[in-house]
Amino acid sequence: MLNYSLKQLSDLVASKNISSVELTQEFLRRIEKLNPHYNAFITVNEEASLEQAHAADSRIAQGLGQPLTGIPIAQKDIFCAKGWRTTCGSKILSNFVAPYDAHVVERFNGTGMVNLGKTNMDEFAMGSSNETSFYGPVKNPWDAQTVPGGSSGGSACAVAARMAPAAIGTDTGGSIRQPAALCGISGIKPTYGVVSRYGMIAFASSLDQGGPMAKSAEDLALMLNVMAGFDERDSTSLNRPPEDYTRDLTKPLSGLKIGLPREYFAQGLSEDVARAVEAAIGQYQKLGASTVEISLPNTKLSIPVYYVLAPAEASSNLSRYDGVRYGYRAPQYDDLLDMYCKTRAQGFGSEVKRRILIGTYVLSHGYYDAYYLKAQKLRRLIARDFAQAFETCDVIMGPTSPTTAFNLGEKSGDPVQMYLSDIYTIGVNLAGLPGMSIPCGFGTRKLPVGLHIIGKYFSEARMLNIAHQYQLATDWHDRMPEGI
Amino acid sequence: MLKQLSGIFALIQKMQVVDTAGIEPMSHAQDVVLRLRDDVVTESDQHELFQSVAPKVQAGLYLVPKVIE
Repeated sequence: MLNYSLKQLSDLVASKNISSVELTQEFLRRIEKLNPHYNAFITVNEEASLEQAHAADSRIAQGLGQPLTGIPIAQKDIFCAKGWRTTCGSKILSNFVAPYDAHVVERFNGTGMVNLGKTNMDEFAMGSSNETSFYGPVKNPWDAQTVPGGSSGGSACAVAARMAPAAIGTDTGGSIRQPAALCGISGIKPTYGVVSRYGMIAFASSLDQGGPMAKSAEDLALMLNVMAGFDERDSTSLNRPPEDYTRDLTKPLSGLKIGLPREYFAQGLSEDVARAVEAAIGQYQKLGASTVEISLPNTKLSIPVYYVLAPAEASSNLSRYDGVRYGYRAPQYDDLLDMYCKTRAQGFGSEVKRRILIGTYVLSHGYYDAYYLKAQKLRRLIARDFAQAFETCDVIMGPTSPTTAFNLGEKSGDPVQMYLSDIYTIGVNLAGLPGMSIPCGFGTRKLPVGLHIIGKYFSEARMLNIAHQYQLATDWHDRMPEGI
Repeated sequence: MLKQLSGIFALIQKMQVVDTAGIEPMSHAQDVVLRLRDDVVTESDQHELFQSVAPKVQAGLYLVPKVIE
């Protein structure tokens, strides 16, 4: 049952073959057994979860069930959930019990789904390995010496280790796609504006997007149906007609044109990852797709551009953490300024501090034009690269990450080394395009490899179709780590 | 910390190689204009709930060290 898809679980619960309470208990037992080893969850509240499960069972008994009613999922600790401690992986929110639900959480609650617990993450979503969390690193369930990826490392680990049938994460520079790749699961970051950011603790407001993480494209589509849609309370939420993201899953792929950027298969890409991705492209050709070489010339620039814009936005978003209205306040201070300084010095970890400092600097008088404005202009060039590429292809593919999961501690000493591993995913956030990662094989050390799929704006249903057809012909997405 | 920051600045400097004369800065994916809404009250007073998570509160006010002598 731990391996069942969301559709299978949903059918079982709807037909009352199993209750939501039994299903939730099954996963809570699994979490109890595995979480001490993998540290995927920061907060578990069995009582609260089971209360939701009971309510779901009543709903179903009254004939008011919807798809996914009664299904438990894990939620990245960046989504405010009323009555639940919501830490964002930080000490500065270690005592913060959210007084309201994020829009996305409201949607899940409204469907009668169950919150299995709050998953571990890089602090304030800043990281690519889940090593910056105040609550300790998350281990990759395929090899506990390696990282699960980040910042949604806890969510990825939970799904890969079958501690949850699905989870939600957020992606600002790759934080859904890269951990999905490193943990051998599927994840999608929708087009910017499709999933409401209300109640989703802000890191970089023009880049952040919430999205689902699960074992298959079909499951992602079911989750997206619950998560996506207009929300008045998010000023960047787009008012578009509601969609059924499962509608195109079964369409055949013949005629599909896949663009392969030469910059994604150049120096820096690990040999074993290249081989797995090339094999996946070969599989797509067998399914009727053709490929065309394209160029995204500003790919390398996307890293410096992101590491100007994201920290700049973060420096603004994180200025609210001052110990006044909520969160951690330093126990000792002389005056108000000292309170602010000590609270933030004690409450934030090093990576967060680095990014706030960089962000403040690039926005400061005398430097704003050379850094922030320059980055915004390059951002437009990067977006144009994609627009141009999409004139000759329907979808772009490549590796999600240049390597498979690296060892804990391997890159955490040098921030720039860590940043360089975001090379393929970052441009997608800068352009606001939708991006997915699905498992496509294994590299050396039997670690998972992810295939990155980039679509045109609002083409999520098509991308899910493309992924689903591949998953019907292969079984990489069904694999799970041995012996756990 | 300084060494790491210097490393990051060296990374950021790479932006300068590209000429961006005449390019409009991009702050949003679809270049949308900020949505406006009607000027009506939509929220309710929940200050007790929201202040229940505050470090120091008194009579509906947040307490901080004295600023004015």
